[in-house]
Amino acid sequence: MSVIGRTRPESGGTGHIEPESPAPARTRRGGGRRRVRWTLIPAWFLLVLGAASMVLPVLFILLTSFRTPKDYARDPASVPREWTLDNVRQAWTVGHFNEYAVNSLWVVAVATLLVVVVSALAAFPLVFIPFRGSQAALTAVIALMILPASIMVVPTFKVVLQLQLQSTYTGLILVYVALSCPFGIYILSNSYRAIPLELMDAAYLDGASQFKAFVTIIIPLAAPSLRTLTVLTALSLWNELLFSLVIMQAPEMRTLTAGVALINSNPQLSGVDNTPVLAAALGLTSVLPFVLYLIFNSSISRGMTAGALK
Amino acid sequence: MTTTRSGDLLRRPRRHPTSHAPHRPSGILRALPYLIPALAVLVLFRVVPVFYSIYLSTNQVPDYGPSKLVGLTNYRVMLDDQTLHAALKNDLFLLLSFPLWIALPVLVAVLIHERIWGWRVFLAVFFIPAVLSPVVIGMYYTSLLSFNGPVNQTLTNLGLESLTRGWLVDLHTAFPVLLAVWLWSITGLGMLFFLNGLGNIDPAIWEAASIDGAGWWARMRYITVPLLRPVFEFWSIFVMILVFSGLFPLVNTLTNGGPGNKTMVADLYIYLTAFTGGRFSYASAIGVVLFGLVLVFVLVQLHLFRRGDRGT
Repeated sequence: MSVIGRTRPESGGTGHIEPESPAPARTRRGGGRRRVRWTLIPAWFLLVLGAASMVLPVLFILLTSFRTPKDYARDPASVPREWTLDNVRQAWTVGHFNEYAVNSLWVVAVATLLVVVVSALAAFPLVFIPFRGSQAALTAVIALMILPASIMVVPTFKVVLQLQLQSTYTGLILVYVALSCPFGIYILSNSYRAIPLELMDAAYLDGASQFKAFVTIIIPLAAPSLRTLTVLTALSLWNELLFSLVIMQAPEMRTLTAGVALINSNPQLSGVDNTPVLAAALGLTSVLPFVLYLIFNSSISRGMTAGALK
Repeated sequence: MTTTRSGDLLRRPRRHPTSHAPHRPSGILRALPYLIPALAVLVLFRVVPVFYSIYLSTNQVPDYGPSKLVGLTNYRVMLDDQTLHAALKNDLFLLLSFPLWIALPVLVAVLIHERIWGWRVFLAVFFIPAVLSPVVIGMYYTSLLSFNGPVNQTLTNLGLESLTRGWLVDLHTAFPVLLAVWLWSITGLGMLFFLNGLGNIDPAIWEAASIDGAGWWARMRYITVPLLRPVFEFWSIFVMILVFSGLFPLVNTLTNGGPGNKTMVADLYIYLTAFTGGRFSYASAIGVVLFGLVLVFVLVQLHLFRRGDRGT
């Protein structure tokens, strides 16, 4: 085994997020493949079952949110007969999802922008400016990336309280930046590392300042990684619940994700069977993730695996 | 790029006799301006809380007035806290389901890598739960499995009325359902990691093996699995951290720990203790212990894997 292992030791690419899509290689390998195909039939049916279960939430949300509650109560497992837009309207106004949507958009947009800027800045000296302790700083970044912030929710909340930032956009945004930027610094420093130092030398030779070299050389070359980081950060922060619940305790400051989780606490919506309204709320919450998924599918999957440590 | 980074760093800047010698700026003072924004926010919201939690856990801190030192009382209370024990036991059970949370993503990844018929569709579809919020997943399954929900309705329509139950409130089914939903929600992400690992293996190795007469299972057993080891290691650490600290959004919306703590998990318990029960000091103590637990687990796992590296 070790002989085979040595022919391609420790294949790299964990860090770099530009190359290598997770799509399998195009060439098919011969030898015994015909036999494999037949034995794969049961496995194929299992895959189809699994895949069906994963499309189901999308179908459920789409179908249930546009049918009347009465129609849903008649037979939840049937095809809808009575269609309506009322559920979406209810969730939007009575459920205050219009306010939540604004909160979510604002918090996620600002936080994502800050995460990208802060990470892009911080990764630069870690790769391009030799200084004492740079290795320790990188280790600290990785440690912060691994060690869960959610366990520290109580003291983090207390810090936010001390700063009088509870139920403010600033409070949640700052916490979100602190949650996401270790990952950002890590993947951006990996992507900077693929940039030849000589390019920087050339810029310095032309008399560019360090910051100018950073903006004009590093940033454009790291653009694909920056884009991946943007999409991934926006997605994960949009879906975040714990800190959003804890920091945004004022009802009018809730984000969409928190609004969905607390939907049953709204007496106007918790009727006998509010599932269609709930489905509409789930749909409203999932619009952005789903659009990101449809547009940036491959860069999301690449970014998610880019964090994989050795 | 053939040169390694460390080589670049060690190389002295070349001196050009002509004007404008390239000068690579170095030193902490040049680095600091770029680091300060990250440093400020990380210290304030990630590092300070870790130390603050130790203070909070050993002091009774009222909303107004001075705090009172309570020492290790909170830690002693933990020893008899049945709910906490239930939460840790459930976390452990989820971890012990590792044959499932390893086999399922590997199976899907290998089949997609083998370009099974329709692999593009499978690749796109298995990825959906990784994009949806765990909150959406939790609420979706709550509706699906509620007493009057589609699952029970389907069972009734099939004449299996005896099987209908409140899946998420039944003492016997709540935890198995949580396990299933959790596996369902992480399989796609695991698949991505393993696909990435499979993509990093040189196809020539499989070719050589099959020329030597190795069948599909033999190639799987002796080539694919050993070469995927770094991914197995990463995935197990990832899942371990997820189980102890990332289940809150899913479980909060699915069962909120019930019935009778059957689905209580550690991070949900911290949240409920602090923000429903108002016991911030005690919740901090649990956080400290859990943080230490995760830290030790990560270090042990890294150490085990490192030793495994030397073994082969």
